[in-house]
Amino acid sequence: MDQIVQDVSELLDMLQAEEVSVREEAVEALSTIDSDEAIAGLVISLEDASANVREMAADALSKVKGETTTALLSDFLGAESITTRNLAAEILVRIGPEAVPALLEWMSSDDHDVRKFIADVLGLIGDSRSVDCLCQALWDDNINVCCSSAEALGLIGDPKAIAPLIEVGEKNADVRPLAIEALGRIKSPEAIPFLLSNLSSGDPLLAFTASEALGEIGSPQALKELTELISGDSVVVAVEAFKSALRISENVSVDIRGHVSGERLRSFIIEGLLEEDDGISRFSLRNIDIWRDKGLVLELLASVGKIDSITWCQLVDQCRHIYHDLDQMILQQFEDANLTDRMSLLDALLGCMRVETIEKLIPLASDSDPEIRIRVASIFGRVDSPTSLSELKRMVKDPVGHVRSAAYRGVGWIGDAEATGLIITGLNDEYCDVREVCVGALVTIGGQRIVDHFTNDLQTTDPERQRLAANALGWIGEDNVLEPLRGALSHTDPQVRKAAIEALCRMGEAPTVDSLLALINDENETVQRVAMTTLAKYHSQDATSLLTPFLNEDDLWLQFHVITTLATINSTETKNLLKAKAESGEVALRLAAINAIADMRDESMIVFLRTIATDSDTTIVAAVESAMSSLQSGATR
Amino acid sequence: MNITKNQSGNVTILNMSGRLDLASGASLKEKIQQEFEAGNVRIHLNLAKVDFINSSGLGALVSLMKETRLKHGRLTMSNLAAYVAEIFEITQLSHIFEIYETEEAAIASYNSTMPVQ
Repeated sequence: MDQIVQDVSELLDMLQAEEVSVREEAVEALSTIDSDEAIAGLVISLEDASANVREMAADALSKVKGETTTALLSDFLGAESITTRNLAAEILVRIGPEAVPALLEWMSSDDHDVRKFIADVLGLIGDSRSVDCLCQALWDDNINVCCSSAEALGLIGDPKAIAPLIEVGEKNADVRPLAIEALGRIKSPEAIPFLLSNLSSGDPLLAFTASEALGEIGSPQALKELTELISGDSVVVAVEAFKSALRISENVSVDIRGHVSGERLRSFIIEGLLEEDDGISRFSLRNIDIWRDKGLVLELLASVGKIDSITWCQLVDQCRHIYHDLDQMILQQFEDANLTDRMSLLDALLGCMRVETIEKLIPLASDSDPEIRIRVASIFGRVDSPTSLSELKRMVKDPVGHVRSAAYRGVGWIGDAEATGLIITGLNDEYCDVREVCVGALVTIGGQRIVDHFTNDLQTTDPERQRLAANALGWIGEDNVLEPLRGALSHTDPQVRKAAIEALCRMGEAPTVDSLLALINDENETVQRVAMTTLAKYHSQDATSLLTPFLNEDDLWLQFHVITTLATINSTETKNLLKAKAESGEVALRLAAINAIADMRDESMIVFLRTIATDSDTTIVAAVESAMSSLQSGATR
Repeated sequence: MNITKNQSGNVTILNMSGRLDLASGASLKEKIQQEFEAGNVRIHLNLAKVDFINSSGLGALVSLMKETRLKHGRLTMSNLAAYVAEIFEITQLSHIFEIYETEEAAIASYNSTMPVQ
């Protein structure tokens, strides 16, 4: 004990040291000692010159808790230094409900600043034990204490405070706004008559606060008075009343639209959307069709740069269903728009441009900014007209690759067979993404000419072109690609052979056993494996006998693949083959066979697995256990 | 191809299964034409069970999309199988079709917008 006292004493001395590190060390040590002296030392450190020391002490004190801490900290609430005072308040809030009894005692402090801060702290702690004390403090001699107490009661939210708040609100004009706000937070309909009287008081501050509080409570009782205020002289109050009325009407499905004049509503909507007020945005977007106010829509479109992107998209989406000339309305905004806004306007045009107005876009197809040209090309592609096609044909010669891509893509969307030749020339473009877009466009258009083109490409000397052609024929997927694809099974390039197998399978025209017989012996491993998988899937009766010889190959990976492929054929023969592989041989292959057996999901295989469950190799034992467990539970591994 | 129909509010949902090619594309167009004639221009295609699509199938979807737009309607799609989604990407059609992960998400998008006049 003596030793501890001595230690604390030394540590307290260290708190006076010049070096910050020494003081930090002392605070760290004091935080581990459970004594009033140590706590006092930590409290003293709240006024240390070093922010880090202060923070360390605050952190330690919030963990120590207890009456001594609270008492000492409460004293600090009256400190002259704002930093110290705030730090003490912060620690007390962190201590939480344990600090409440001591804080309540300190509410009788002579220092009104201390009482005010304690009220603040009690509100933030939110413990109902404070309610009676705070209700008394509503009548404190000091107005700041009264206001803080009202605010605290709102934060605590205990209905016991309703009557005292109403009483103080009725009798003390200075506390009234805070009492109203607190009653809103408590959310009890009991306060509605008092709030309504303030709503109609004629005082804008009280009407504003009461509107907000009534919105919080959400009772339809207040709707009539709130909607009256929406048309009142004070715009600030009207907006708040509008927001609260919206909140309530959403809860009770009451329509308040008829209570708002056209002009006022327009200003609410525009400001609400610009300020990103969720309630107003939702309301505006939901009702924009009912007002049918073109002026409003034009004003909103002109605000493109100020509306957040999600609201903008929703707005445009709504409007395009209502105004069939939305494209013209958007185009009207172009002249005064900056580059960013023009992009947004063009994005909006994507969904609403019409054949009738497409010509107005022609000048933008030559805009100096390639991003603009890209968007214009996308719009042309969506509007099926000779003008669009003719502009796109010009734009595929654009010096910028991305613009050419967008133009070719657009031609593909229009799907004009006459443009096939033009898109085919794009396959020679220097940029890869342009070539890929052209392949995609040709696949969409389809037809014999395109199939012939890709069939010829299979014979070029360019491997990339050969592979692209094989894939494209597969994607086209029509009957007229079957022959070229079957021919491609014996192509010199393995990737073409693989693409041909996969494409034919997808089309439901899997290669014949004879074709696959050659391919399972392909010089390329990938082709070989794809062919084996295909054989097992589409010709399972022949597959086992054709694949079994590969189990004797030297290539372990090939054997591994054959084992997993055989597992997809659920026959007695394959089961016996897998059993044999699981019993002996290379550990890796035995493991593959055990896992393959589990994948067969045949519970009868558990009997066999038990016979190898005592294998000397622990990895085999673990795999067997896992396989048996998955077979028993019927789960897929 | 099998096409079944159900209704969610004023959105007609067509559930398709099988292969979308020349023949089934024609059936789909016919089916949607009937919906247009009945005044239903909000069409959702659930492609969960469509495992193959070729040029003709794509062409049918593109022409349906254009026709729906001319009628100021909406054509949405959802639940694309991996291969169908891949084809939509390759052909860049994912840029012009309204594609949703799920049918629920697609229907919710209709509910957040107003009915077509």
